[in-house]
Amino acid sequence: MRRLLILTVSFLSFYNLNAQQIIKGIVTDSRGDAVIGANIYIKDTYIGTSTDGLGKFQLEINNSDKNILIISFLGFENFEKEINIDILNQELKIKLKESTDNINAVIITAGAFDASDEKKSITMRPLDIVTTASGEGDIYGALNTMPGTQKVGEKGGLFVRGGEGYETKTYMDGMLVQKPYSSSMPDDPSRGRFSPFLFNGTIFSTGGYSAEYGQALSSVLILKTKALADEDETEITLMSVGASASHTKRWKNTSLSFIADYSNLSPYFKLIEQDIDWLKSPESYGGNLIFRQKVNKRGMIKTFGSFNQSESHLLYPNYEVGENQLIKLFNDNGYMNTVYTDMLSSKLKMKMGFAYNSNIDDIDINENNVKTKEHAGQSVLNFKYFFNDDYALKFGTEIYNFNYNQDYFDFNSDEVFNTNFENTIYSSFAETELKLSSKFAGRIGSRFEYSSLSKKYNISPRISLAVKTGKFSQLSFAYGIFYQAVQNDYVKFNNDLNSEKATHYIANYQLFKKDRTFRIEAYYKDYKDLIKYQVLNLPVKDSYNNSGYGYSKGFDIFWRDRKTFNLIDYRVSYSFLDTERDYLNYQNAAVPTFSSKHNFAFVYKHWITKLTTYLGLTYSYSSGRTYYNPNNSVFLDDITKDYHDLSFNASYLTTVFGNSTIIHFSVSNLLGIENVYGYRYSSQMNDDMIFEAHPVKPGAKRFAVLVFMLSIK
Amino acid sequence: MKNLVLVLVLAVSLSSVYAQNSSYEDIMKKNIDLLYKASDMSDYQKVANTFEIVANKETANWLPLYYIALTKIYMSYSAKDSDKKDLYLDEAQKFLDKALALNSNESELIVLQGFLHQARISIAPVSRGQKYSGLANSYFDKAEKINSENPRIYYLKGMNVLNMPKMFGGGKENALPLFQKAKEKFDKFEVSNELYPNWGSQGNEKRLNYCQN
Repeated sequence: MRRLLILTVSFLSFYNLNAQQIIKGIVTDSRGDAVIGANIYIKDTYIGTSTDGLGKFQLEINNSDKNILIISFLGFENFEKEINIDILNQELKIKLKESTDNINAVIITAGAFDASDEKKSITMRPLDIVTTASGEGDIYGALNTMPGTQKVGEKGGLFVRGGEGYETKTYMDGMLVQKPYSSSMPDDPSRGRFSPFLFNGTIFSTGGYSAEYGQALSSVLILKTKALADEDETEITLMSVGASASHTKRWKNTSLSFIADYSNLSPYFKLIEQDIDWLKSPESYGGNLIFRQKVNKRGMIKTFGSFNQSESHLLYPNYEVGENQLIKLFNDNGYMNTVYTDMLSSKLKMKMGFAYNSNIDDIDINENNVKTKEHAGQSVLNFKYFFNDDYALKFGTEIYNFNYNQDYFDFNSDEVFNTNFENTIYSSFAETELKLSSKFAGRIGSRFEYSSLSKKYNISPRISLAVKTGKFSQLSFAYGIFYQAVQNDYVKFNNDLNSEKATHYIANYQLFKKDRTFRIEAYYKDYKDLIKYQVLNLPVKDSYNNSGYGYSKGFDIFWRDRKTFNLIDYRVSYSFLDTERDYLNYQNAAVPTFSSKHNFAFVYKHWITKLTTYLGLTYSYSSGRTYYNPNNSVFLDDITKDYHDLSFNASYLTTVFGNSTIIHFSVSNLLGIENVYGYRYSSQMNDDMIFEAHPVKPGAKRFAVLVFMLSIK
Repeated sequence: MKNLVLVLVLAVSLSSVYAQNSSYEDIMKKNIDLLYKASDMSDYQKVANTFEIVANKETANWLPLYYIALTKIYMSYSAKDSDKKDLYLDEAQKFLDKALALNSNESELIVLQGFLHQARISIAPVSRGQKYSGLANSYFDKAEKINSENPRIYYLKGMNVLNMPKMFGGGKENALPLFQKAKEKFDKFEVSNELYPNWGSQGNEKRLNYCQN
C-alpha cells in the first residue's frame, strides 16, 4: 500500500513535469524588499497567481510556447518576459521598477509650496484659505501665514524673502494677472480681487521657479481654476460688509457661472469707530463670468472674466506735506482670460492663452487729479512634449503688450501733464524635465525676453534638482536668474531703464510622511540693477538709474501636522531674514522698511463634530521694522516695536431648508494689542526743534466680519 | 487511511489543474465568491489580481472591470494610510472609467461611481464631505433613473445619510426609510446571471437593525 502511494505520488509529479511546468521566483522592489500581493500571470490566459508574504510565487503552466509572463503591482512598472526553458529551471529574481508617477516619486520642491493636490500636506485649498484665522477670507492674507512671507500691515500683498510687494506676480491658469490686488488708500491694506472659492489649487513659489514664468523678481503665485463645475448650484452670501450671489449651470461638457458681488464698509465703520476719517467708506461692486467647455476627449477651454468698480473718500493727514488732504479714489478694473489646453497627440500637450487687463485709477487729491490708465494684453503658446514617462521638454513663446497713460491735472497752474509709454515684451522659453530614476529629478531651462521699449534683452537660466534621500525625505536645490521690468512710476520718466535683476540660490530639505510635513529651506538672493533716484516724481530722465543693489538671505522652517491630534490640523512657520538694499532714494544700503528679521506664524484648526464647527486660531509675530526718522542722522536706524496678532474664526456648518449653509465669523487681534507699522514725520520741526512722529496704525484695533453662505443645489 | 491520503493528494492536484484551466464563468464565479468572503488586504489583493487577469483577456466585458473597481474600493476602506486609501480609489476610478466606456448605461456601474465618490469622503470628511456626498448622490439618482429596482442605490444612499451629521439631515432616523426601501428591493432582486453584481444585502440588514435600535 505504501508502495502504491509512493508510486502514485511520483507518477503525479512526473506527470506535472511533463505536461505542466513551473515558474517560480521572488519579486522585490529596487531596494530588495519583498513585493507582497503582486499579480503574476500569463498574458492572454486565466493562469495567474499572487506573490505571498515573502514576495515569492509559484505558477504552473501547461505549455511554455511563446507565453509571456507579466508581473504587475500598483506603483510599479509592469514587468514582461517571454517564457523560455531558461527561466523554467531556476528561481527567478525579479526587481520591479517604481513607476515615476508613484506618489513617493521625487518631485522638485525647492522654492515651491505645491498645494494643488489635496493629499499633500501643504495645502491652501479654498477651505484652507477661509478657515485660516487672520486670513480674513483673502488668498493673500492666508498665504501671509506661510514661511518666507512678511507681514506688511499697511500695504497688504505678498512680500517674499526681502522682496517688495511688486516682486510677487499672480498667474491664473498660467496667464498673468496685472492687478491682483484692489486699489487702496494710503496706509489701508489692499486685498486680493478674487474669491478663494474660484480656485482648486495654488502653487506658491518663494523662489527658483520654472522658466515658464517671467517678470517676477521674488515669487509667483500660480492659481489653478476649477475645471467643469460639478453640478447646478446657486449661492447666496450675506456679509456684515456686503453680499454676493452666484449661479452655476452644468451641461454635459459645458459649465457656466455668474457671480455678482457688492461690498460696503460704511455700516461697519459706523458701528466700530475708525482712526481714519472716511468721508465715503469703501464701496465696490463687480461681477465674474466663468465658462468651461470640454472639447473632445482631453481638451478644455476655460474663460474667466471679471469687472470691478470701487470708490472711497477720506481725509488724509499728510504730515510730510503738512496738511490734511481730501483724497477721492475711484478704481475701474477689468480682467479676462481664455486658455485652451489639449493633447495634440498622445505625447504632445498644447496650451494657448489670451489675457486682457484694464485698470483705471482716478484719484483726486484736494483739487488736483491723477488719472492712470493701464492696459495689458498677453498671448501665450506653450507645448510640452513627453518623450517618455521620464523625460519631457516644455517650450513656449509669449507676447505681452503694456500701455500706460497718466494725466496729472495741477489745479494751481490749471495744466495737465501727461506721461505715457508702451512696452511689448517678447519672450520664449525652453525647459527639460527629466527623471533619471525615481530618486533623482531635474529641471533645466532658460528664458529669453526682449523689451521693445528699452530695446534690451535678458537671458535667465533656471536649474532645479531633487534627490530622494529616504522613503519620505528629499533634498532639492534651485538656482535661477529673474528679471522684472521697472515699475511704471520710473519707466514713465526714463524709457531706457534696464530690468531689475535677482539671482536665487536655494537649498531645501523636506520630510513628508502621512499627513505630517517638515520642511526647511535656506536661500540667498542677490539683487542688481534696482532703481535709484534723488527725488520721487521728478520728471527728469537722468534722475532715474539702475545703480541700486541689495541682498537677502535666511531660512524658512515649516511644520504641518494633521495626524497627531484627532480632527486637529496645525502648522508652524518661522522665517529668518537678513536683508539690506540700497535703492530708491536710500542714502546708503540699509534694511528696507518693509522687512522684519523674524516672522512666525502658528495656525491652528479644530473641527468639532458635535457642533459641526470649524474653529481657527492664528498667532502671528513679526519683529520690528525699520523706519525713517529725520531726527536721527543715521539712515533707517530706528526700529518699530514687534507686531503681535491673535486672530480667531469659526465656521458653523448647517442646513437651512435642506440647503447647506455656512455661518462664518472672524475677528482679528483678540488681545487688543496696539500694533504700529511705522512712523511718518512732520516736515516742519516743532517748538522743541524736533520732527514730530506720527504712528502708522491700522484703522481700528480689530476687524470683525460675519458671513452667511447659502448654497442651493 | 492511506487510501484517504491518496485520494486527497489526487483531489488537490486535480483541483489545481482544474482551476488553472477553468473557463471565464468558473473563474469569475469562484473569485466573486472569494471577494465576498475576503477579510484582509492580502485576500483583496489576490482577488483583485485575478479579476485583473480576467479583464486583460476579456477586453470587451465590463464585469471583470466592475469587480476590480469594487475590490479596490473595499481595499481603500481597509487601508490604514490615507494616501494609500486615495491611491486605491484612483486605481478603482481607472478601471471604472474603462468599464463605463464599454457600457455607459449600466446602472450597476453608475451606482459604483457613486460608491467610489462616497469612499472619498471618509478619508477627509470635513473638507470633502460636501462635495463628494453631493457627487455620490447625483450618481445614485442617475442610476435610479435607469433601473429603480437596483437595491444598492438605496442601500448606499442610506449609508450616505447615516454618515452625515444630523445638522445636514443625516442620522439614523433619516437613513432608516432608505434601508427599508433597499430591503424591499433586495428581497425582490433577481440577477440575470450568476456573475451579475449581487452584494449589499447583508450590510443593509446590519444597518437596518442598527437604525431600528
